[in-house]
Amino acid sequence: MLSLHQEMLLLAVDDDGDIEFTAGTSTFRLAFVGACLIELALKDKIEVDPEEVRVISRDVDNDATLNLVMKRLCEHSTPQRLGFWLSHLQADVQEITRLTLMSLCDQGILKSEESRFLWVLSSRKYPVIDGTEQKEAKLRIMETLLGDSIPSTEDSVLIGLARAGGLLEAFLSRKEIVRLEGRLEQVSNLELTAGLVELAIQEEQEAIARAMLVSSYPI
Amino acid sequence: MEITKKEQGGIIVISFCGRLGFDEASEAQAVIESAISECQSGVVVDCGSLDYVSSAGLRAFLVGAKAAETKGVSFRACALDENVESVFTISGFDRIISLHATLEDALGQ
Repeated sequence: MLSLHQEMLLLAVDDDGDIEFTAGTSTFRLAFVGACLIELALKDKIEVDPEEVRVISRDVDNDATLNLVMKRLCEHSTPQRLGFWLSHLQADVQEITRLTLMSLCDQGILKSEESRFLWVLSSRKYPVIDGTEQKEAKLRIMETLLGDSIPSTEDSVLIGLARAGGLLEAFLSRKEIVRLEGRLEQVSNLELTAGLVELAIQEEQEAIARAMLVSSYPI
Repeated sequence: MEITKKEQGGIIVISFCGRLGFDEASEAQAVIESAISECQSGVVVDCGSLDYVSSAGLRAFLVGAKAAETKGVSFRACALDENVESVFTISGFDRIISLHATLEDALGQ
């Protein structure tokens, strides 16, 4: 089974192997780093409450992405709030993304291809190999949204992250998202770490909106 | 954390006293799961003496809510203090678990 941060990034890969535009937004980056922290909480490697994040076990097996996140968490001698870590880990977000993409390549889910734009600029594409895992993640999201039972923690958190990171639009129409809004609200982020990530993203969006308002109407 | 369990008219009332964190989560989950399998019509978790709950502790409640849904019985929590209620709200648990101000309310008396 894939981890949350792997599934989230997999949902951001389009049919051509490009990473969706939304993956470059600050909201996505916060949600993606949040996915790593939630994964650590679900694996009982960290314990989270509104005041602090505490490391329970430093052993994160062979997951290079989680190893990097855990290394950063252990660099601070005093426990910090989750919001602090979401901001602090933004400095590593490119490396966290690269390590996660590499893990998906190593598992035979994506392949890495060099591509050229206008024969000069090179970029890397990550086409999906057979799409089973991506389809499975989308299917689980749809089954939860169209059902009426309480979802598993993992499915609930994946829906919340996909929603916060703007990834639902990649496979649901705007009209469908509006129609499912009530159910989305009910089943997203049924987990404390995920709820705190959602709050931090809302605060970030409000700060951006305030900054845009100030720049539009300078004093 | 101290856990007590009693039966009141087909409903099992579980009382948590103290902290519900990583160290206590497994025991809390086991007690909730066994109460749901034993109960006739539902389970109420009395949080009146619960003063802390973390991400790990909270998962016991989700497991309880899902088990109760599967069995078709009620699963409620009551008497949450401000901090514990805030954790339930942030996690969205107030959308899937019926929260009540007092044990009497939760028992429908």
